[in-house]
Amino acid sequence: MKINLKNNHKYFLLFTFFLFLAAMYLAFAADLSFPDSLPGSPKTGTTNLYSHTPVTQVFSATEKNLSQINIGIKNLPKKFSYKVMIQLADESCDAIIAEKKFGVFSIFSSPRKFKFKKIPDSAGKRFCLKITYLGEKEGKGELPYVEVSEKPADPNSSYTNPGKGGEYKGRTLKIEPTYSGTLSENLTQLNQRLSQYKPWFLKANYLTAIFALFLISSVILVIALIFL
Amino acid sequence: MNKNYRLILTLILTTFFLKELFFIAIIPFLRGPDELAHYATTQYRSEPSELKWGFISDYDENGKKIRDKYFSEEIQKTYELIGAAGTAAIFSENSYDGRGESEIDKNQWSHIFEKYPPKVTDYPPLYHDYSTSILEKVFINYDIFIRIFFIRSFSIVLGLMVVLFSYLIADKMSFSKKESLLVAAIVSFQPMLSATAAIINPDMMLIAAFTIFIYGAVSGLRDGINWKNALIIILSAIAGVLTKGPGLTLVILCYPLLAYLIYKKIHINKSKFAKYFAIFSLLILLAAFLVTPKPYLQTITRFGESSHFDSKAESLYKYLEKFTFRKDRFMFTGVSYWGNFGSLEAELPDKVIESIWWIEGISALGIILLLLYKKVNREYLPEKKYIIFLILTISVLQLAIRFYDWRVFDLNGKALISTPGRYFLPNVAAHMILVMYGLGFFFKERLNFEIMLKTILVLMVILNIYSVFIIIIPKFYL
Repeated sequence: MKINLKNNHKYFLLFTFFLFLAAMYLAFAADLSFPDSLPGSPKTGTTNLYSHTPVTQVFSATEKNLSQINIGIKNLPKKFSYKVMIQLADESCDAIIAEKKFGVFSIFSSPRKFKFKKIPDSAGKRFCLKITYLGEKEGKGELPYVEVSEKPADPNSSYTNPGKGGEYKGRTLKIEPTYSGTLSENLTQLNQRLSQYKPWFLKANYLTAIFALFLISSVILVIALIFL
Repeated sequence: MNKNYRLILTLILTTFFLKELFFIAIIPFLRGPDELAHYATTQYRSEPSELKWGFISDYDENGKKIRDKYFSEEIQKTYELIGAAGTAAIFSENSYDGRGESEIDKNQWSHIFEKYPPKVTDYPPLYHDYSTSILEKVFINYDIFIRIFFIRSFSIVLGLMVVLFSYLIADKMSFSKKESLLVAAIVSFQPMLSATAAIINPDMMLIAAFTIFIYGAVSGLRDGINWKNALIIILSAIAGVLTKGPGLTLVILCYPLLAYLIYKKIHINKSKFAKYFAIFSLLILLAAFLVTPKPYLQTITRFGESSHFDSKAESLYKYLEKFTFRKDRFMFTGVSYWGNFGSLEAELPDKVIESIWWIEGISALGIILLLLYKKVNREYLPEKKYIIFLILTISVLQLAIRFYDWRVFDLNGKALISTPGRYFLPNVAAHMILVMYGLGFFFKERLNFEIMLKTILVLMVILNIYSVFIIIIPKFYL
């Protein structure tokens, strides 16, 4: 069957528009995961990732539904082959709970946002995060690194980097555990955060109404212009 | 204008307004580019004149840069409570009110800049003195969040003008009504324009001045000079100069443009006109040189100050090598033209910008071919005179900003001003129309050109929604 693009372009454009909207919604919904509301530790340094040598840190989850860890990992080479493996283990760093490898084909995921299956009973438990660089150093280029804070919120924090020299006490990798509830809980929490430090008419239901009107109006406009 | 088209133009403006309200809601307290400085300036200039400090310099009497500058008690305390300086705001759990928000709502702290020197900008008066500080005074009894909302909303009004005049420009240039509506809608969803129209920053006023100026010019090029378009050209150029430094480029464009339009009107002999034009230009230059205060001339050219380099040629070469013809510099400008939404690395990824460059590159090729080859005939595209004018407008602003950036580099050896892409947003309507024009080369039939415009619109709306939900909200709130 021959498709006549000239006659059907309107439907094709509309389909593309809604397809992108749906993809955006899915990406957004998957991203809805909240770090706790405490101030983070400021970045004061970095620690290099040496090839095949895991950097590890034990941390405490403050809430239930641990689902993601944001990691201040930088300078990853763009070369075809790079790979970083990130693992979540129990407190002893032995029993692996979640594991993911990242490479150039990881278009929809990033080692800066290590997502895994929600852990419902995470509140108060301690976990071990392991970051392993599986690539090689490229020429004169610097190694990839993880940001570090020498002023951690918990002064008993420490991390280990055997490639560099062992255990570093009183310091923490710049990581941020985040927690995710149901979609409805997440959207409510997001609305609460967006509402804070705004005038009363940009809060809560007013905010939802403005968003809904903007979205509806945009969709109507796109449809109207496509079919004009 | 057909009733349906009028309805759709209203829909474009309404959608823009609603979108901007949402942008105001999602851009955190004074977190837009330089927004804190511009709100502080607004508040400072709304003070009774007897309370204002006198001359404000960035340097002390020993020529050393003054680092400690002061806000009003209200801005200082609000900022401390929100914890916005340098890190993400600290959110309250299970509440629609932030920590300390009830304290801020009481509007109990002084709005006066008690200590010298105040942390304010020294922009020309049109934006801060005659616009935003009036709003600050009108809503002085309301809390800071309400005042900031209304001052930010003023940018929406300016944004609405930009969208409306984008339509009018395209219409004047002989695009069809349908195509003009598509152009206006495409401009209205440009992500960085959307963000700029929701914050406190004179950039939006400059963008409006440029867009209206371009409309006046295009109108003159099409209908010949008349009182209406001459007034639009002159007033928008004055508005530009009174808003921000780069507004001066409108004056630079204004003079030859008006001269050309007059030449077209009076049917004078070409060589005679050239002679008059040269004499008149010299007289104007001389008068401008004599009338313009020397410190102002020195500020905009930085000539006469000691250079960091051995020669001007060396400093220019180094500036071009380090800060112009490099991919990372293009990327820096590109990202901040399309979407750099404040701190916290809230910006569009490089891959998105590279994709846009591909489209722009193809369009640039189309423009060159359309301008050079007379055989190529696309009847539905505007005449070349409009296109040459738009290219000229973009080139003059590019040159002016890069010239000033180079002059500062020449003095310090550092790019202190730099060239963030938002400095080039005043030409957003001209830019979008040029891109569409260039792409038009590749379509022989008008219907296909319209399909292309619709495709670009869909992509722009998607890019805008992507900026909101994948960049701004996650960066600031997750």
